[in-house]
Amino acid sequence: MEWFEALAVLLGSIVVLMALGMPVALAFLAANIIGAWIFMGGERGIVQLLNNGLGSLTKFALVPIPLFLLMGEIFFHTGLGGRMFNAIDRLLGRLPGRLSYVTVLGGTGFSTLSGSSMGSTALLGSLMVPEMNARGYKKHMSIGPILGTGGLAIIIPPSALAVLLATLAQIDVGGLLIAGVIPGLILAALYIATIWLQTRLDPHAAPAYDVERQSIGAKLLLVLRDVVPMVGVMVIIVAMMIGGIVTPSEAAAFGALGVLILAAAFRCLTWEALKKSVTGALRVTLMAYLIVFGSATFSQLLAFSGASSGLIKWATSFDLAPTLMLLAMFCVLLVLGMFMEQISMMLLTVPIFFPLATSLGFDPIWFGLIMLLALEISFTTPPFGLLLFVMKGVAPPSTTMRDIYVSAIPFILCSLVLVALLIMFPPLATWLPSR
Amino acid sequence: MRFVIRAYDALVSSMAFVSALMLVWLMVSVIVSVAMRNLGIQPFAWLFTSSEYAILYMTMLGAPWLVRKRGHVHIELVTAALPEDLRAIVSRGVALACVIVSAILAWKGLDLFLTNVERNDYDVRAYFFPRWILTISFPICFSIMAIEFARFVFGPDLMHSGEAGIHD
Repeated sequence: MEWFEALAVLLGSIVVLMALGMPVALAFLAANIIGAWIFMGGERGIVQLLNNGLGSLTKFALVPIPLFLLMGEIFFHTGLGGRMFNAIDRLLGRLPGRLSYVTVLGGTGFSTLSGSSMGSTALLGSLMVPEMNARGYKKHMSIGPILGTGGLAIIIPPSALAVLLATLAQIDVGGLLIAGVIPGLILAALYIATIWLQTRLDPHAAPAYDVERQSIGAKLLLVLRDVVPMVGVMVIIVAMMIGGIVTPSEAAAFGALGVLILAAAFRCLTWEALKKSVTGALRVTLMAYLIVFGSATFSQLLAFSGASSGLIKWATSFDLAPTLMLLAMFCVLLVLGMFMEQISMMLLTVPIFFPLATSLGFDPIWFGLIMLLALEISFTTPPFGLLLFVMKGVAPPSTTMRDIYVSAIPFILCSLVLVALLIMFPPLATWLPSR
Repeated sequence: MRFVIRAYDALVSSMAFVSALMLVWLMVSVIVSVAMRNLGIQPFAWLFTSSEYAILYMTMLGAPWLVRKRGHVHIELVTAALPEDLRAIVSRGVALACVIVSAILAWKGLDLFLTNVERNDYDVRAYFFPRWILTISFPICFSIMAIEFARFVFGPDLMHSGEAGIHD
């Protein structure tokens, strides 16, 4: 079998089964079974699939995924997240565009920890858009920042998706998490500048309104009580990772413990909240792990069948500049983002893109970060990015697709500026992990 | 019959409960080993190994429950575009395909488990651990997953809602 036929069988079966509505993890396993049967010697191949799965699923590097998710779930089910959201809201006072900033700051916190851009877009969309409409905000000031938060969330630690990408690509988990810190701060600054510019250009876009004035003492109390402890947990675990004091798994465990202690201190740790948190974390983790279960075999199949080497040889035969190849991979992800969520995109592309990136001489951590950004950008790119439709589903009925497109574009541009900066100055991503 | 169904439901729920306990154990084991290290005590090697195994058990014990809760992420494009009757047929067909996938893995999982018992295979990490204690999770997980998917093939409920989008 030629390499492109093998590739068509492996990728084609996943895509067809997924499009028919088969659960993503099962579609992946089905393609693995078909591939193992053809390329790995029938029944023996399937036993090999199970043996590979055992090896992939008993790796300590996977520990941070459920624990980062648990941390986020506890944060929100106990109400700690809401508390922080309210505090930031009150602290910003009469600032024009206040709720847009709150959405970026609070929303990033939420989506970083929730591990699902779709979930957080749905929640923030149904929560914040009506509130901002009622305050006379124009649609782009409410919808844009919400769509933007996903891009920020996927790269800054603690990002469960970054851990999954690093595990699938077999690169340093801690390295990829730390690499996201500086680009994440740059992207946050770009978002804030965008909102500021939008409110300057059109002061009616986000009218200031009267809020209860807070004394300096009250503000200080709010910061110390409702912001510092929550942000502190995240900052401490990231700092400890950067300092090499803890591994990502340890950082995740202590993050979850830290949030538990905070919830207990604020007297909002109930059995009900704890149960919901563990269940929520479990749901996302199980799906991700079942995919990891098949991931080793999928890479092996691509290698055995000659599909990955054939594709790499074919792709590099054009002798394109590495940057153009990077753009080509970017475009593939943009297309996939129209009908898949991020974990499925990762499982399809990682086994092909990472070897290709290595052959082009890219730093794997740098490339991982670009890929994370591409995953999120593809999700929000008009006309078919999936988050746009999620937003349409939860925003007030008067919202048109055009409103959503117009809102998304400035924030996509910010992410693209960041990608361009990373291409021009790779140390933005590689400097911190290499210290 | 009713007793069998009740017992089976309780089995799936208790497997999910153990899966949740494994998740909590991941956190506890890491914290205990870091605490021991900081107290100048060598952490028990089994703490590390147990968390690696916990990942496997967590996944295998929780996966059938996730099927029941329709928690496995799936995309509704085709099923959403079809008229109701046809959608029911496609939905049951997809569920049947999932039964087949799960059944194949359960069957080969049983093979692997029996081979491990027969050959007395060991998983070698910090300890020598009989491999069958790990691989026994495959036939259990995948056969129960097959039963859970079969409920969507033959039962009154469908796996697909008919609403376009990604569901979990």
